[in-house]
Amino acid sequence: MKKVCGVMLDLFFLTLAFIMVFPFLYMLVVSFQETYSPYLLSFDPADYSLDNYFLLFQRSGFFLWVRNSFLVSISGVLLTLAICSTAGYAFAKLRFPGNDRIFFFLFAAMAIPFPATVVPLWIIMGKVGIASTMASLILPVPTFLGVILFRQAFLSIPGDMIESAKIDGCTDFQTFAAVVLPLVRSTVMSVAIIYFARSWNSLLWPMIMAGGDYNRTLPVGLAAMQDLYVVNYGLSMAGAVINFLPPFIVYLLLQKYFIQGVVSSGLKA
Amino acid sequence: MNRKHKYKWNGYLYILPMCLSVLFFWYGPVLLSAVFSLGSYSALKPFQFTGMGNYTALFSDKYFIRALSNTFIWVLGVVPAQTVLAFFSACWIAGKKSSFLASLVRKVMFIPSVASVTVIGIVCRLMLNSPQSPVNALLGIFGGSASNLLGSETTALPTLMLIEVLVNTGYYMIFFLTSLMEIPESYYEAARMDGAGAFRICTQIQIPLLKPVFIMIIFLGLIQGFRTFDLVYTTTGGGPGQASMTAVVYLYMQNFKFSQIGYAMAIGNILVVIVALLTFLQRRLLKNKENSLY
Repeated sequence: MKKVCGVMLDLFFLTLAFIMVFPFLYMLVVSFQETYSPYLLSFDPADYSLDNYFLLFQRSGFFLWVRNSFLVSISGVLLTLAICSTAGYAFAKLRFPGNDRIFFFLFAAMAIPFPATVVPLWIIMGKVGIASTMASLILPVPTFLGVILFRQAFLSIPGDMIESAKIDGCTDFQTFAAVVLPLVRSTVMSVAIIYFARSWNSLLWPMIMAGGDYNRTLPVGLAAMQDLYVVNYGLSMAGAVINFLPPFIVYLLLQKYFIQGVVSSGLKA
Repeated sequence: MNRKHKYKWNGYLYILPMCLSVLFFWYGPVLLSAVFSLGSYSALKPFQFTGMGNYTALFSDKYFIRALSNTFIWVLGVVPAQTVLAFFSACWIAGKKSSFLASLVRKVMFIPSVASVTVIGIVCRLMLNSPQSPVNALLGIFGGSASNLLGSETTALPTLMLIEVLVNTGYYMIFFLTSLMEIPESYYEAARMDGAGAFRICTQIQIPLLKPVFIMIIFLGLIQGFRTFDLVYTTTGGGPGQASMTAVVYLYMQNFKFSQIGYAMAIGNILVVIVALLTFLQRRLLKNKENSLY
C-alpha cells in the first residue's frame, strides 16, 4: 500500500514537472523549423535547421541588444547584492531607533503595482535627465525583496558569532563582509539568480525607456521585430529560446549553491 | 552593562541606499500619481484638477468592479494553491534526498521562474486556445478539451490562474525546501521511534517548524497576486469581454490605451491602499517577532 502511494506520488510530481517544462520543449522544437502555423509541426529531423537563429544574428542590432541586456542585468545584480545585503544586515543585526518602523515602511512599497509607477517615473526620469540611458534601466533593479531575503538569512546567524568577531576587534563592516556574508552564500546565489532573471526578462520598463536600437535590451528588440515580419513562428521561438538561455545558464551554474549553502551553514560551528 | 541602550547609528548608513532607491522609484512616483489621480490628465489635454472625481467615478465603474473582484478571486485561488503545492513538492523532494528523480524535478520546477512570463503567455495562448493544438488532442483522451480555454468566459480566468500556480510553485518551493533541509534528521528519527507515520511527521514537525516560511510565502504571494499583470496581458488582454480582466491590466489599459492617466493613477492608489491594509492586518494578527518576517 505504501509502495503504491509512493509510486503514485512520484508519478504526480513527475507529471507536474513535465507540464511545467512543456512550453520550453515546444519553444525549442519550433525554433528549429520554419513554420507559419504554430501547430503544423514536423518531427522529421530533415526539416530541422539553425536557419532561424542565423536570421536573428543577421538582424542589425541583435548583438547590441544582447550586449545591452547583459550590461543591465549583470550591473543590476551587482547593485542589488550590494544594496540589499547591507540593508538586510542592518535590519537583522544592527540596533537603531526605528529599525522596525523603517523596515515596515519600505516593505509596504512592495504593494505598489509597477504599471502604476511607470508614467510618473518616466516623467521624473525625464526631468532628472537620465531617461533613455543605461542608468535608468539599472538603478530600479534592486527591490525590497532582496532585503527581505537577506534579513531572513542574517536573522538565523547566532549572535555569538558576531560577538566573537567583535571581541577579535572587527569593526561592523569587517564583521559584515568577512564573517557574516560568507555564511549566507546560498542567499547570495538565490538573490543573484532571481534578480538576473527579473532584469533580463523585464519588458515594460526597457520598452518605455529605450531610445532607439542602440539602447534596446534583447526582449524589447525581439518584441519590436515581431511587428515587422510575417509571423514565422520558428523565428519567434528562436528569439524566445535565445532570450531564455542566459537566465537559464546562470541558473544552472548557481543552483547547486542553493542547497549546498544551506547544508554547509547548518554544519558550521 | 548598558548594552541595551547602545544603538548602532551606522545602521542608517547601511540602509541608506535602499531607502533612497525605494523612495525614488516607488514612493516618489506614487505621490506623483496621487496628485495626478486628483484630476484628469491625458495625452490630449493638460492637467485639470477635479478633486475626488476619479475615485467616485471608479466606484460606479462596473468594469473596474469586475476587474477588482476578479483580482480578489485570483488572489484567493492562486495563493493557497501555490503555497500548498510548493510545500508538498518541497516535502516530497526533501524526503527523497539525493535521488536523481528528485533532483531533476527540483531543477525543472524552477525553470518557469527563470523565463520570461511574456513568452510563457504566448506559448500558452497558442497551446490552449485552438482545436488544432496538441494539448487539445492530449486532453481529449481524458475527455477534456483545450479548444477554447482562453477564449471562453467561464474558463479564461481559472485557466490563467492555473498557469500562474504552475509557474510560481517552483519559485516558492525553493524557499520551503531550503528551510526543510535544515530540520535535523534526529527529529525525524525521534518521531519514527515514537511510532509517528508520514502524516503525523508532516503536521507535527514540518508545518510548525516552517511557520515563518509559510507566512512569508503567503505574504509575498498576496502582494504578487494583486500586482499580476504580465501573464494576463499577454494571453487574453483581459478578455473575452471582461472575463479575465484584473485590476492592474485595467490600470494599464486606462493608462496607455485610453490615455486616462489620472483615472489609471486612481486605480493604482486604490490597489496600494488595499494591499497596505492587508499587510497591516496580517502584521496585527501575527505578532510573532522572533523568527518572523517583520
